[in-house]
Amino acid sequence: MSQENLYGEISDAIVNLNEDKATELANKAIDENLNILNVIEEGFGAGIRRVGELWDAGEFFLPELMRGAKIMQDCLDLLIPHLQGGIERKTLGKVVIATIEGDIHSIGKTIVATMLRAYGFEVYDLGADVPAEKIIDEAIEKNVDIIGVSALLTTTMLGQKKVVEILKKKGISNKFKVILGGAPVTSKWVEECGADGYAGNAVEAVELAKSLLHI
Amino acid sequence: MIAKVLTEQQINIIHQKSLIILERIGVIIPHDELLSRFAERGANVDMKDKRVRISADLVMELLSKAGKNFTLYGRDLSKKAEFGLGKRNYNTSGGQALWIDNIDNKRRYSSLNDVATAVKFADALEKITIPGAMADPHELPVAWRCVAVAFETIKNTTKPIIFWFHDRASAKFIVDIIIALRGDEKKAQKLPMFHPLLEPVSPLSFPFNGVDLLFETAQLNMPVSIGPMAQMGLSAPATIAGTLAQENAEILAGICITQLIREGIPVCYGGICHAFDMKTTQLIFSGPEQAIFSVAMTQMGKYYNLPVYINVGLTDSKRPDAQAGLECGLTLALGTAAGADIFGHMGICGVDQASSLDFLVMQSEIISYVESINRQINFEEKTFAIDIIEKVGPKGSFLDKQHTVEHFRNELWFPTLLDREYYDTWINKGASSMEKRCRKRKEEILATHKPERLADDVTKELEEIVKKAQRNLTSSA
Ligand code: B12
Repeated sequence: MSQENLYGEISDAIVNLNEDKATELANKAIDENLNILNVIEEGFGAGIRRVGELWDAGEFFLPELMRGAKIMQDCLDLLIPHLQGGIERKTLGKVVIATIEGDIHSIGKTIVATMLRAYGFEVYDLGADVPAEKIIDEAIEKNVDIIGVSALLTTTMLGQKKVVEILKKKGISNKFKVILGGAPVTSKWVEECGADGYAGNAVEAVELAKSLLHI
Repeated sequence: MIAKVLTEQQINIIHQKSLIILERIGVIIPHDELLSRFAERGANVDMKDKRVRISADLVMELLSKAGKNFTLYGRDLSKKAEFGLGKRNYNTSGGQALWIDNIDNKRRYSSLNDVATAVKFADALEKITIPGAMADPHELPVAWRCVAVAFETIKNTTKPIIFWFHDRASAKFIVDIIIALRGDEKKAQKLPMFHPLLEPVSPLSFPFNGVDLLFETAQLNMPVSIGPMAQMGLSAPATIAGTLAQENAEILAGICITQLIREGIPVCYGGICHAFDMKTTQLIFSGPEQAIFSVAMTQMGKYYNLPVYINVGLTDSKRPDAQAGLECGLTLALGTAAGADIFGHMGICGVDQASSLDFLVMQSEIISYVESINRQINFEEKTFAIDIIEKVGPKGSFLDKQHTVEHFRNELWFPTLLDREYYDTWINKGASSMEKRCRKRKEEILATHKPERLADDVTKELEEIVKKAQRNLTSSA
């Protein structure tokens, strides 16, 4: 089988949400000692971009998008240890995301994380009820490009501002783009916080992340 | 009960599945005191993971201890909301983050002033038995916000009320408020005015504060509603049957919690699972699944002989328009016909997108309509009027008969807002839409209604409690 055919098959397996097939092809690439970076980029990456297009076109619904992202993620976990020469995988960018302290609403944040992942970002999801300090520590440690903070309560929204303030205090605000979201959050609030962007849903969140990183 | 979607056998299957979920999978309760109470009763508790698996026997035993009916009383003791006693109650929202003054205006953050407006408004609406705070004032710190909201709500209505509790520390002051209002602890226990809602976090877990604060309210044996918002396909299986079984399991686990805190606490079964929109990634308030869920959940709650609370009469629409009318009307009609006790959270624009009195006015008309559907048909002998039919005879008219005058007002429902005019009359009267009429009615009520004032000495006493809450809870934060 030519490389191109294999890439095509992988891409199809992702779009068809065929976990067994995708896993089989990932293992095959490892066994045959193929260039893993290319397999990820041109096979799996192409597949998840097609999934994203189907979602944009209204042909895929949320479970299909999430399932595609999950299969992709599991395959990447298999492949990454076999990356040749320790080359760091090319991603659109790194994101740390969390729901802020005092807030247990996790659903929207998880969807945003999954969507970003599906579009090729490397995402660290810290869960819900996470203190601002912890989010920032993780952001520094993982050397991320974007910090995403979700808040669903008007009270916990203040925690979003706290993230921006701590970054300023530490003199590292220029190292990260901070994006905010959640039902009560508005672009006006984002401005007030001095954060970098607001998105009302997961699709917009991807667009926002891309535009902030000039992709 | 005239609306049913489950057979007896299906009710039993859901019940059995829920027991399997609780016994095999269990729930997470991040509260050590409560977990040890579960352990004492022989439940399988994993203290490290905060997970408890509850046997069917223990679930049934604790369920049997729960109070099966209760009454909330307003400041005016004749204004009551009876749960589990065959009455229908309607409440407005417990609090929304955002507020819309007029449809077409931008929404803005809610304030304490909005609480006053909203509660005063619901005080005027005959069909609303339990005014809710409707606004969640963002200008107040959350540590003592609910205490201030409780006070503002009490000031503006003589009916029983609803608002969101926050945690145990603030609940203590809320308990003080009801004791001050009623005169002493004994009366406060006998005459509850409000009650907390325990919201399990689907799937199968409980919030610490929601559980912890019940230790405070339990001192007055305050009733508790248990309502998980499981979302089909998101935080519950993607099937109606699976969601019903999980939702029911979560409610049963919540009831167990209340009974371990204090045996005999009256509970309300909140069957408020929802569908989830896989396109917009938004929860769905109305929609056909909501009607099915609500009727099914009412059947489940009644199977346990409990008062039932369901989310019907709601809409996903952002305006009080045709979609809103369809969605509120159909779900409310079915929910009431299923025989639930309380139908909730009126006055919300879209899926918890804001509070709006325009919606509330529309819903109040829908409630009136639906209440009329739920009437008992009068079957007394005189209603058949055979002798009158004979008198009128073929080709006659009933209009000028005494029998007609005596009966028509009881048999015919009169709308306040719906249009039934002749076409030309409608044009001459300004050709108004339902939305316009809602707004006009809203403005009339806002301009005229004044609730009965709270006595000065009580106002002072409650003010002191709020101030104390502010002092104590601010310093500890
Ligand atoms: C489901 C729900 C719950 C569930 C949460 C389950 C869970 N695991 O998350 C439960 C039942 C547990 C719950 C609990 C409570 N809830 Co609640 N809940 C909701 C509800 C109905 C839906 C939230 C949801 O999941 N939406 C679906 C997701 C997909 O949408 P989303 O979160 O908005 O996310 C999208 C966007 O906002 C955006 N986004 C989200 N995050 C981010 C982050 C970034 C970086 C970006 C760019 C974008 C982005 O993209 C997402 C995907 O499209 C909302 C109402 C509403 N319509 O928002 C109330 C709501 C948020 N809850 C509310 C309240 C009051 C509470 C409670 C305090 C109630 C109580 N008294 O106990 C508790 C909170 C406890 C706590 N400390 O957190 C209020 C908040 C009001 C306020 N003052 O702010 C709301 C608005 C309802 C209302 N009455 O007004 N809730």
